[in-house]
Amino acid sequence: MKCGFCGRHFSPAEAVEKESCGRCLRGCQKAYCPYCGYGNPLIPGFLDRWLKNKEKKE
Amino acid sequence: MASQTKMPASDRKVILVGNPNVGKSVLFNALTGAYTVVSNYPGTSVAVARGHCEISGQRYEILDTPGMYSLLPITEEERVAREMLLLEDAHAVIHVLDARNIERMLPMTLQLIEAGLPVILLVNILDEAERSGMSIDIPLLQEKLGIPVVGGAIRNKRGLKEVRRAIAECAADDLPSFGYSSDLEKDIAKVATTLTEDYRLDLRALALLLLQKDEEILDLVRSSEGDNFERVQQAVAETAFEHRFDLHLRISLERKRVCKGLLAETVRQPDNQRLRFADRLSAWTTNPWTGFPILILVLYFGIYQFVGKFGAGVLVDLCEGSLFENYLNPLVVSLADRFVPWYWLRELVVGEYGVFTLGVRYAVALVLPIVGTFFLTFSVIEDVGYFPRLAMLVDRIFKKIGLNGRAVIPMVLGFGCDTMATMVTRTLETVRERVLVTLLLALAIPCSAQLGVILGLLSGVSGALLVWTVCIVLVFLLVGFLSAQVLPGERPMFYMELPPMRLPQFHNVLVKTMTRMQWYFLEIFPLFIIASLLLWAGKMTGALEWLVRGMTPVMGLLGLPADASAAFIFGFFRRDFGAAGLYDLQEAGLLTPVQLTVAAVTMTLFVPCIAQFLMMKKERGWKVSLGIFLFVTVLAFSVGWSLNVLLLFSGILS
Repeated sequence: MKCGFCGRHFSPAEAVEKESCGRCLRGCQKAYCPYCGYGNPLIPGFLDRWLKNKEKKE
Repeated sequence: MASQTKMPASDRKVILVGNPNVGKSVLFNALTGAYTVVSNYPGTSVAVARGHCEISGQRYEILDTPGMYSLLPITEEERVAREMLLLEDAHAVIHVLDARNIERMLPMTLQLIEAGLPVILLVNILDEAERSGMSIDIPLLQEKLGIPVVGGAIRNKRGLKEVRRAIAECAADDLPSFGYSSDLEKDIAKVATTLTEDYRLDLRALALLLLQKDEEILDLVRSSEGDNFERVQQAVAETAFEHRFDLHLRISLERKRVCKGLLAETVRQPDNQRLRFADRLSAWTTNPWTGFPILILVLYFGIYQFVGKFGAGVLVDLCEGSLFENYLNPLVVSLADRFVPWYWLRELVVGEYGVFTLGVRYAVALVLPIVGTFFLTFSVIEDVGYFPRLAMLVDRIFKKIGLNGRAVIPMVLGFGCDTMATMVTRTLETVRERVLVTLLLALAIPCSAQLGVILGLLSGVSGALLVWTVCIVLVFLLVGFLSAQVLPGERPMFYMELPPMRLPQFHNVLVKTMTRMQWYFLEIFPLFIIASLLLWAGKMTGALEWLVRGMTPVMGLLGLPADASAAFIFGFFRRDFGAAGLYDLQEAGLLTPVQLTVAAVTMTLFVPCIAQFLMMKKERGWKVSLGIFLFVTVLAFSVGWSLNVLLLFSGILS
């Protein structure tokens, strides 16, 4: 995924594993950029699938 | 880490490296064709593709590495990519870069050359760069760099033949050396001369990585040097101590300087008149003379007009005023009156603090439209690439209060959720910065929900928003400045690469906004229900009345009605709930403009929510967090009291 702050690419799984404050009821829904620390929203499954389908069609 | 074995000449390896999305995989496919193997790199979950090709009768194994930004790794992908460079005895290393971003990506070419690797530079996506008016003198760049350089657009097979020829002719002899400033060269030499063993990496590159505190390289040197390691460590520690925090920055700036020199006559951008609007806008946003007016415009249109007027005005009127007040509330109340004979249960569902009439209404009709519009604005600003430029812009102001632009990240995060932002303060370099940002977050950075509701609340009263903004900014700057004087410590430099500015992408903005809204709603909805349950329980047991009575003298000092107590009490648990309570009071006509402004300022500066307090305790410990808690509480009410006196005395907003 691409960081919304510094524009670098990183793997969200790795970022979430490392950084999470654990205060949210549903677990951490953000991926923290390993380069700058910015919290990027983790795209929910249904939106992710929709995006991928759209990309495929294009 | 790096084995020192040599591969047989018949099995020559070519490693493709570069930033993500520069066309490495396209080159890999173009070189290898259909027969490739993708497998996880040993001991990791990072996929690496391997394939073969034949050039002039010689067979080559081509390795496609994960994207990397620097030889100093941060992510697992980068670690794997570097390990491949160190472990695999490469016949050639092809650094693929995007011609459009050559200035940002060329420093890695320098790093690869410094490392003593047999580098071939492929300036890819040249067609698109040329279409935008950019021209790159490839032969001149090759002459200046002293390594083979190929320009191309591999997707269209342009340059592929030249790449194949460069691979066949590649020789690692006589790699050039690029000189840095004499100070830095002395530091590099000081560390490099202490290294006595043979390494695959050049000693100069090794010294630079050691100076940048590369843990893996440190381990490699420790295991290779044996007794001599102490000497190496001492040289590194001495140099690091002399330059403190700016060593990493110095190295980056030196590489930038060298690259600028290399590209000076090599790259021709379109003249100023034809300079892309995005580039001009980017320059304006970081220049203080134009940057602050742009920031004011962004805040005025993005926050005040769109969130305040449209979100908190039009949308909330539609949801709360029309949908809930006219249809849903009467329907649910009449159903409860008809089917629920018990007073306590009716109160629980549709009473003053009922789960539906308060919890659901606040979450769905009041807060969600405001927060939704805020998230939409936030996502647009984020997608444009404005935030890193804002960081550069406010760096000057932050420096005055003892912070640097890096502190913008937790501050920006604070507008989303202060709790998370408090945790992110750990990314700041010094303890002083962490404490300062934690304090400022607790004091003067309202979370998005609170900000939206307060903006919506104040937008309807002429002058109230201006008074609120002036108060919060003044408190932020004053407390920040004074704290910086009290807290001792270093003032680190700030440096970051600016990603290109671009038009917001509809899909990105939509997905990010929906993602944030979904996350927020699912997070707050149960909390709002719990809060209304607690209020109901407080009302039924009399505890709420007791608490309100206890708070009444404080409210009186602020010139606020006793009813405002409940909003303040629950503002501690969720600030947005408290802000929504103020919104309700104002809608009911229970607050004058002065009272409204005083309440909004006090609540914004009021103690952080309970989750943020717990995070403060976790990150900073009991002593610091309790100190911040007390300081913020006393200051919030003192500012509220002073503002009330000032507004009543001067007649402003009366």
